[in-house]
Amino acid sequence: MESTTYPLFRTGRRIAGTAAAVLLAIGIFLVPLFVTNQFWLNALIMANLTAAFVATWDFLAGPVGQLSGGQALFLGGAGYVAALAGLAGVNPWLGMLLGLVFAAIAGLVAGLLSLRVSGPFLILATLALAEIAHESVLAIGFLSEQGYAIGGEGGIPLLQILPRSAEGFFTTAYFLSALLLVGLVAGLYLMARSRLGLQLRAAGRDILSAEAAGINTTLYRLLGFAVAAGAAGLVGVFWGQYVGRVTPSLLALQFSFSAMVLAVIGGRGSIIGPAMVAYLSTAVFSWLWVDPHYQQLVYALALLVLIRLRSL
Amino acid sequence: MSDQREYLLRAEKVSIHFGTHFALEDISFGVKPGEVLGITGPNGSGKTTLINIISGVLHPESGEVYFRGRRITKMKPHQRVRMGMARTFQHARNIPEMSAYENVLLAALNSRAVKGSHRDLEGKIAGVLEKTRLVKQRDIPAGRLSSGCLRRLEIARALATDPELLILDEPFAALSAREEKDLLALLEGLKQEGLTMIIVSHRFDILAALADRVLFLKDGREAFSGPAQDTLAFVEGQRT
Amino acid sequence: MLVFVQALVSGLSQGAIYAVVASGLALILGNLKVVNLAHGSFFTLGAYLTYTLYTTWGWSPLYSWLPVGGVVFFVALLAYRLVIGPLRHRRTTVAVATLGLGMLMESIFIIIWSPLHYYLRTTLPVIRVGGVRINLQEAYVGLIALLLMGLLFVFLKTRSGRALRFAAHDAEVAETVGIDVGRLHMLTFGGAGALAAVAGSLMAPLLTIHSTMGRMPMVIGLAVVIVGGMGNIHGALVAGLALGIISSLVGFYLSPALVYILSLAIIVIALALRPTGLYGALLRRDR
Repeated sequence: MESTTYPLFRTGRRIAGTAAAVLLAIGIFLVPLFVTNQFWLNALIMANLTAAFVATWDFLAGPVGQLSGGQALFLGGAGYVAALAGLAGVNPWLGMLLGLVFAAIAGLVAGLLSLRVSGPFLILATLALAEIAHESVLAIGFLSEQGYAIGGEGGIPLLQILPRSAEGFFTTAYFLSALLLVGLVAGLYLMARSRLGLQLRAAGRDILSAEAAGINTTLYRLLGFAVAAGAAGLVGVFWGQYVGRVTPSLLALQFSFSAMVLAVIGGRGSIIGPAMVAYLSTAVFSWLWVDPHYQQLVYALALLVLIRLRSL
Repeated sequence: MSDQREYLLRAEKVSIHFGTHFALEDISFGVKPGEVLGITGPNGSGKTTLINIISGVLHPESGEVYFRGRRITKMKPHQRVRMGMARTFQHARNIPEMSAYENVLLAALNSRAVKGSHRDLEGKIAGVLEKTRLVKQRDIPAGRLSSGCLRRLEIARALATDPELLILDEPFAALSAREEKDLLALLEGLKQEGLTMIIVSHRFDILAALADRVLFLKDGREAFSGPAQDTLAFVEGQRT
Repeated sequence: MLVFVQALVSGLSQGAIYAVVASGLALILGNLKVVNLAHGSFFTLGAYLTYTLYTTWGWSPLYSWLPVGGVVFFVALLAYRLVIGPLRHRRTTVAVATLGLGMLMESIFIIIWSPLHYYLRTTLPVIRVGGVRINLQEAYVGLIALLLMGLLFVFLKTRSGRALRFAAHDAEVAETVGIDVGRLHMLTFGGAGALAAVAGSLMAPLLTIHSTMGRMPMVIGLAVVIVGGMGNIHGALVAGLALGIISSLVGFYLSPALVYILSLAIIVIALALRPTGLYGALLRRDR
């Protein structure tokens, strides 16, 4: 979308904004002091993870300047690779690493695609890639030696490093997810604002112009995609570890779509805004026990209304 | 056949065609250090295509391009920039959301010169902005600048890479008389400093005065190549 | 061998439907220069409406595609007016908007018709002709689809049709010749939506009806459009039939899921290999 990207270098607002962001970050870590109910901790952990996921989409859309219609591929794909590695007997830590590697590689593929395919067609192509992954994991299923169904609709279980039954599981998981969220958002945000981010933005916006300024656009495009995808992959392997299972819904179009919508609502390109919107909406929808179908209805409506408003 | 190294840039028998017609056929020329070469010709004669080939946006089907003695025919644009070749575009391509400062910063980060401290970088940017008289527009997003300013910003970005060769594609197009005078003064100044330049323009009258030599293209072929002052005579000869 | 012939016959009929779906996409791509990611949802809408018309009033799916097409035509017009129209010139934004529209419709389907999967009985039997089993319903669907394609070709030759093709080629010039391009775009979107809905309606008795059922036909349609030459309706017919036969054979001998995946792969590969590449469109501007 051609809406203006987040303006760089506006000092006054920056100081206030930074202070607010820091307070928010601290606040997120303090939550377990007030919330001990498992249901609520779970809802907020999911909110953390979703917010982190949305931030990765926004990093791709803003600083790298490319819209992805299949961000779920990086998240779900990483999770599935980690789970499959676990099935093969691989150490769960190594499995997570493998998942990350997969996400980065998938990101590079998408990055290469973005050099040949632009705008609406890139959305379609990335969407298609994610759907391929989605259909593949839905279709492939088998029975384990113990007779359990593995794959298909039910997904694949993961060997959890910290088992759900462990003491303080939810509190620990919350703390780690908060760390992931804050770390990821801070990292992506700082990268976007840096000189590296400036060059990423140029390479995403206008290849000829960037090349004329001496920027190796291929390298920067690939770098941007690898970072965004890798970050999503990190969220994905964490997600798998927390839930103890990866399911096809992690690769679904609905998931990619929601990331897109939340990022747009939160202010495409600002990274922090989308993360906040994602966090809030996930938490609120959990609180109100809203059906996923109604959630999608709300998201889609909000997207359409926003697009309509912004172009008038 | 003169030595490669005498020329800063040399093109040898460059040819390319789009569809069924030849956009460029067997074009050869060279630019010596400190020289100003003008490339002119009617619309569609292949001027911009030639520039695109020299700057790396296009690869020729046959022929070679040498820069500082090195074969650069297949190199990507950013590599040529790092070697010391900068160009501007006919329709100024600046990043609209970024300020003039940021646009120049982008280029300065990739300059050919040895990377200095943060202060050196800032100094270089300030210097370039001053030279192109964009100091007041420093923090304004490029999307909001006038076309004259945009043209100067293009040049500022090119200069920020510390080029040995500056290629300008139709720099005088759509400028007011005043802006044209200012730009001419800027280019004259750069010429005095010894910067090698290639200027593509259909304003052969300007080129006759500013350039040392002129290459006149017609239908993708070389129609004339020689001292700048002979250009007017050639064009007059064409008319009869 | 007989099985092969069966798959072939079935494939031709499926291919005709793909061609219909693809034509709608091709029209939108050619005229509005936009990828319509809501196309599948219009297909689904056609199917749901046909189901409801049958269960509520007993209208046979053999002919209910006609009113369904008409209704969805207006629904699509409305959608265009509200959502797409104002964004006409910004291709990426429109693509996102169509995605949003499609997802919106999917969630509305579930809310109205519940997440249950529905089955509509076929009204025509399966017969044996010389050892080959022919599904008459399928054959009927294929024939209607071919008829529609024929009508589409005839339409393209008419004055309106030629205006459409002219506007597709160069919208700006078309405006100056007095063609109301905005209205043309709206009608094209409506028409494409109707085509998709008719396809969905015809296929309703042959498929399982659920909210995301339109995704696969849309994806296959996109593959057909890309392969058949973006915006080219004749290419859409040929590619559609070809893909129909191939997918029928693949679906029969290998697995139906593979058809969807294959189409997706075709889309990605075809897009990546398009000859325009990086500088093509840009160069046309700079020359």
